[in-house]
Amino acid sequence: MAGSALRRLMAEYKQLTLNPPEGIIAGPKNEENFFEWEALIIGPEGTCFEGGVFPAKLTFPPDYPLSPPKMQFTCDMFHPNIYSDGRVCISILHAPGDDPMGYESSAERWSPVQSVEKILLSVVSMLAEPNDESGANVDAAKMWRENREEFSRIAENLVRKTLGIPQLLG
Amino acid sequence: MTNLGIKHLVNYSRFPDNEVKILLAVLYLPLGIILLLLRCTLTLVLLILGQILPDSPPIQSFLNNLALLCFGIIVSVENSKKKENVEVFVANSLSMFDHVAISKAIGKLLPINKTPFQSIPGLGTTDLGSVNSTEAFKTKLEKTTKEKKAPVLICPEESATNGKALLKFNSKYFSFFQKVQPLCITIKRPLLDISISTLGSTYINDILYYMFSPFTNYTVKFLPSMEKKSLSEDEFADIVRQNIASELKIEATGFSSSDVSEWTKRQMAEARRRNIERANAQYRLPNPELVRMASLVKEVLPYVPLSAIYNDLSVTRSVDTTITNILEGRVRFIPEQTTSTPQTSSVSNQQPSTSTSYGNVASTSNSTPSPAQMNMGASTFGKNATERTRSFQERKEQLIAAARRLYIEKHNLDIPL
Repeated sequence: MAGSALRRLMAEYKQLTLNPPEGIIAGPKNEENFFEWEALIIGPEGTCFEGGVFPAKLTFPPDYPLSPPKMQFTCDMFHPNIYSDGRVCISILHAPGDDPMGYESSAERWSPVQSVEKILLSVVSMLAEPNDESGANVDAAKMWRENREEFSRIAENLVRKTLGIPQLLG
Repeated sequence: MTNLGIKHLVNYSRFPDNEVKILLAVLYLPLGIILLLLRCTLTLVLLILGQILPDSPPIQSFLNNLALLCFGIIVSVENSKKKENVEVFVANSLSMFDHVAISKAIGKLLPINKTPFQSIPGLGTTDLGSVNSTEAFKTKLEKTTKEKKAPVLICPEESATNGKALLKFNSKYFSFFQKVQPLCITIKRPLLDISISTLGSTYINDILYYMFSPFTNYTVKFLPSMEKKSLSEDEFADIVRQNIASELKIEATGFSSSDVSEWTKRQMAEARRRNIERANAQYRLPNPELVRMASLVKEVLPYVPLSAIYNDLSVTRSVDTTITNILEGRVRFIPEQTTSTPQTSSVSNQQPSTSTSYGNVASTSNSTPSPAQMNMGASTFGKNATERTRSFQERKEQLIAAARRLYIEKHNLDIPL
């Protein structure tokens, strides 16, 4: 039923174009492939990712919205819940029962009532409040716990990088 | 011994299944309605008179006659000479007005079975409480018979049937009396053959049909009186019952009044369930294809109630058309509550200032950007892919530019914007 996936994606695209949440943009990179989206997320205020514009790629399965999309940041990221290759690891991107990390208990899972907008808002929350029990990036999790200053410095440089501003020197 | 079930003791429809009779009923309708209105008025008079007139024998008999007129009841007695001077009459039970008709045939009478008109003089019966609390009943019975000096009427079946058979008698009544005179009543509504009562019908409903029918003919027939002698109350009750049954040429069944009411309740519940199922079936069963299509639509748009999806699908017969109709707002529905609790709350709490500024980016680009201006909403959604992609590209660039400017200004960096 790629037809219904397309229609649903078009509806979400329209919604996100006309009425997006603060600091979020998302849409298909090229409408010839509606299953590949690009999203820009502004780092939330008051966090070490504040002000950065983080680009990510969303890949939708043909049976969307039955199955969740995949999300991967296309810029450098250093975050406990993001793999070093940029893949995002949060519960909303997993269907119930599909629990590769074994750490998601009561957290919210994917279901067809979720949406791209909800995923992106969850990612904003994730940037603000990392879940250091998730082992997507063990180094980042360890540093977040033990050396917050260094973590913030790295994050600050990531922000600058996305904005094309010269790095701070360590 | 008996082939009759409870289902044979109840009527199901008011009118007979006979085309001629139904045609007759239709022709009779205007006359019936006039009669109904007249009799309603008369019933009001009866109710008022019953409240204000004193309770004396001549007035009782006057009210009784008025009641017969109100409900169009004609009483004929087959063998009035056989009436004996006994203290107790036992009758079969066919309707709520049995005692009114029998009062007419006998004269002064104390009916003691409960009827819906307990408190209405002229129609009322004497409330002696339940016969099953024997002692209290007996005391009250003795007191009332002494006061009123009238014979007692009991209907030991304790609930009315359509007259096709007799129910079990409650033998408790027979412990109080030595000698009783049984009597048989039969009811006929000639011409239209409208049923006295139907399965689950209310008293009001039955009464309206009494008033609507041209008349209702009660026939009362006295049987020879019977004495208890050395018989137990059970045996005595049974003999009286057999006597009435054989006179009426009907069976004496083993069902009791409570069996019948139990069965009626079950039937009513069944009927209600069937009605609900039928209503659902109309909506669900006609087409498995429709069910399949609706579930596809529901998968894509889970917040749309199934009823709205069915409504539109039954017109469009196409999943895609229905999805388009819903997305473009051509289908009216109330979105269903979904069980998920969006994580948006924590985010919007951090940035509470977003509420109203959905401005176009172009209008804000020459002032200092603030986080509240990071909203990249477009004013229109392009009609074709090129337009949409261009708008998307522009908004991405604007977002990055705005974020960069904001960052530089916030950190007082000496970098060109």
